[in-house]
Amino acid sequence: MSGRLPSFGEASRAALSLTLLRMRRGRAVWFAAAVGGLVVLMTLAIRLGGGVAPRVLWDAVVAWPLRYVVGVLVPFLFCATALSEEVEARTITYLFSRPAPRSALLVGKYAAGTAIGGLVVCASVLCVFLVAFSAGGGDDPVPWGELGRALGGFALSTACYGAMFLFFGVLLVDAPYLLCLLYVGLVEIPLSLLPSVVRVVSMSFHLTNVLGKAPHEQNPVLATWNPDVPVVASACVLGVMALLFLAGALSMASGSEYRFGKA
Amino acid sequence: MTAPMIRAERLGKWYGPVIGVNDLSLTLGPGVHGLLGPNGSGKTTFLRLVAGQLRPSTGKVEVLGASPWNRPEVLARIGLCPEVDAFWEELTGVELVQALVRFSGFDEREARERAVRALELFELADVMNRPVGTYSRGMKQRTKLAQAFAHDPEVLILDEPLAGTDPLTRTAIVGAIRSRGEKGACVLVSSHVLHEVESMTENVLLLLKGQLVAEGNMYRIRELIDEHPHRVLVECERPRDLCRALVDAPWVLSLRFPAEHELEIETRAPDACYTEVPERALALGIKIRRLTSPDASLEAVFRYLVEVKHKRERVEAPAPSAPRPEARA
Repeated sequence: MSGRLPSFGEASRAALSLTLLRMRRGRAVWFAAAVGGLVVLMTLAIRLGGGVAPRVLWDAVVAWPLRYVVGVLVPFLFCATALSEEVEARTITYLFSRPAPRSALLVGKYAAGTAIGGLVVCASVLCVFLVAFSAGGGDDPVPWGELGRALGGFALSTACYGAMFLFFGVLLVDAPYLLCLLYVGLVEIPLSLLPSVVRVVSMSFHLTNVLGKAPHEQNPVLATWNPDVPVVASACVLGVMALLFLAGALSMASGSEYRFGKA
Repeated sequence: MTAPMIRAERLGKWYGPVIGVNDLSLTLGPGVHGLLGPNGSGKTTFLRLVAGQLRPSTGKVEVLGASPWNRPEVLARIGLCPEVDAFWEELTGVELVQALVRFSGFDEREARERAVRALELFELADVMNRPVGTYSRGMKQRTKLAQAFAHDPEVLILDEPLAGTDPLTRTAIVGAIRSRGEKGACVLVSSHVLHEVESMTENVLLLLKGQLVAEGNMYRIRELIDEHPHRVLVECERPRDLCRALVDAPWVLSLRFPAEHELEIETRAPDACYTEVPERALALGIKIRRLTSPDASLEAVFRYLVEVKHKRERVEAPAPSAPRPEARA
């Protein structure tokens, strides 16, 4: 008689498969796909309109809609409310009454959110690239190497933003969007646009660096102010920040009573 | 002597200034135990402490010899049917139970087999492939029970398990609970309805304002409760004729007419009252529209038990070595 004690891996896999099952039936995936689809459609419209060189179009779409909209919004949708939605719906009661370590539950949810989010973001990047270079690369050959770099960079940034939003959601379960929006509005976007070394605080700077599209290539005025960070270092920052925020979220979740602790 | 499966020692839980459970000590072994108390008496808080969802503010609680708070090895042996009606409504019944059983360390195939068996036990086999969102309240209640039973836990914590169920379903649920108790599990069932608990067990714990006011055998507690005068309200035609027919009954303490078609009876023998009033009305051809008790809420009865407890404590204080009665209040 009685249940078994699952290993960390088994518990994480159980959380992953439950989250994926729910995502398949939920609306968040469709919404995220719609956001990515809109960016692709916009690229297609500009491409069909003509007059814009494939490389310029690709660079512009990567620099703004993909980096600040799809790249940030999609992990936000899948990770910010990973825990708070369970607390809000009170289904957390079932999860916390099971013999799975809370950290394993969160790892499973994060893995599901990052996997689906990464797929949506990378699919959008791929479609934008194919649309932008659908008629070849103009005067230059099609930069396939850049596509690989973009897919890797966006996958890494999705993992980083996902962990960050998960942490903010766990930290402020009652208002998971608040810290995320404050971070994006006050830190991420403004600091990535400021010149000088403060840029390194912004994850999108590191993403831009990984993509090989640091602004000094295009803006000679800011070139001297732009921090010269090696690409590998930026990739490591994204990876390490993902791990740090994930560890923070796991540690926060382990000791809390959440709403059980309210009369 | 059987080892205790649940043990609380001077257990307390506060929500800020609000007391959830206060200085509660008890020991429970195998079998079904009813946890009775009015709304807000601390039943759910106590169950959450036992289920490891809350950390005690003072004292301690142990399940199978260890604290359940954040301890997967203890939680593996507990099954919880929470009071809240919360579900992942987009999942089917079998998907929901299977997903939860997987957290108890079973692989996908075994989790599904267990989920199906548990849903069959609670007569949900026909609807288990439908989304939970389309279930009636009774079906949802049974789904909660199925996920609690599916991994065969040694300790079952059931918070208001009969809420929202119809009489036929209740019989099935009560049967499953009793059977699990007979097989050696410790089943702790909360309710604010006395007769619900009576149908499952004779062992009851009475909670009021976070304190244990009585524990022991149901029949002894019933006697204690029956010492408290009950009011029974009869809504009928010709209440004065019914009053004349009841005035000589030995169990009647007082009779009065709160409204034109109402007769209120005060009695210390509610069972006799509920049996004889319809009989005497039938003999006189009086049609009874409603027979209710304003004391149906256990709160009034429990307040009385608290008074009894305080009185006894005052009387028993000089004799600390007095033997423990079968039931205490």
